[in-house]
Amino acid sequence: MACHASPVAWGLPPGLRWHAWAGEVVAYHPGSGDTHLLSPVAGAVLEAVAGGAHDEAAIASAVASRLDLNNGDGLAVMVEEAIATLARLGLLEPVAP
Amino acid sequence: VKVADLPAQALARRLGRGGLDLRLGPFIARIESPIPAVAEGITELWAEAAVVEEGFADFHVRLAPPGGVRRWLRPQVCFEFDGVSPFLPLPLDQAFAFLEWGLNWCVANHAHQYLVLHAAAVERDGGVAILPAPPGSGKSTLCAGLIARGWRLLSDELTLLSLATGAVAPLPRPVSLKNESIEVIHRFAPDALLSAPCHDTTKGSVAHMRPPATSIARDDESALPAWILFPRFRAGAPLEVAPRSRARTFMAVVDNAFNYHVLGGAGFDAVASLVDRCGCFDLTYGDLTEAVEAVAAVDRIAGERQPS
Repeated sequence: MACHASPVAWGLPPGLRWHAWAGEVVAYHPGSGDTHLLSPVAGAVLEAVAGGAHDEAAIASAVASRLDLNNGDGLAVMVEEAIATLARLGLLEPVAP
Repeated sequence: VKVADLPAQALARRLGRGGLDLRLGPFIARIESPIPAVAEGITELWAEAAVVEEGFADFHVRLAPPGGVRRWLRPQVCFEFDGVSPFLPLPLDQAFAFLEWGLNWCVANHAHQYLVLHAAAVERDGGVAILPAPPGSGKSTLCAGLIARGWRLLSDELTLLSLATGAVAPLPRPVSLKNESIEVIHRFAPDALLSAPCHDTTKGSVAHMRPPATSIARDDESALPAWILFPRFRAGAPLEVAPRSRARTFMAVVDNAFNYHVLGGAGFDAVASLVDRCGCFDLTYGDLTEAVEAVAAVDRIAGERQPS
């Protein structure tokens, strides 16, 4: 049985459009045609990835900085959940590290 | 040549045979109808609209009674677009309102060079206030009040946002007033010309207000948006102007767009640019006079109420 490791690096899919206003982010997925208003953490994750953070540790660090939060275990869980949500919506995709 | 320049017989003849081409903002509509109420509505409410003598028409529409016994028994009217009837017939006395609603449908479903919003738009001193809102929110009432106090009418029902420039293209057509709003505007603007109410429509009683001649005369002058105001009428409510989050405004504009889903990424970019350039507010009102004054001073009022 093959063992699939979780992707460790994330990027923005081609054609994704997004816009941020003071920490509020909306994003448009060209494949589904859906537009999403993101939660503060998900929006910060998207901004972090767009800003060059790709692995989860770097993303969490960037999110902590953007939202002025402690970069601890609690934030790591929120970031992990936000990444999962964004990936499910097609707003993030795994990339080669 | 304007509609008002045509003798009644000539107008009826054109409507009855071959069609009357009217300029409606950026569009030309070719209208055919043997129904006298349609000619009367056009004469009364579109008096200032330009008659186009020859050339291409964007929309070919026809309003006519259906065949069969319906000609005599509770007579009806059908709306045809390019020879197809997209709607069920309506009672004959709703013929002119049907023309207005049908033309709205034509624009909303075909003018994809614009982001088409279910919103009123008015302009003053070069800045456009866009009023998106669902039916029953007091949008048209506020729009009618604003144009009665000197704002230029760009549109009552369909705001056309150019994808190329971000400007709002005028589509100054009669303002549709419903139920209590008819009397409200009669009192607020006694000089405004309103059609006789048409009762028992799916929207209740409906009357149309003639657009100002000055707005029609400038129907080729686009203008840039400056404010997005979400009106909400509540009887007896005190005036309230509250700044809105831009992201939530973005989503609400999308909810009020007819063709956002058709435009894809260009629609997203258009809404983002619109929200970027505008002040975004909720405007709750119970008194039309207060609301009209508030729109004129929205930046100051909102600034005063924002926490320091």
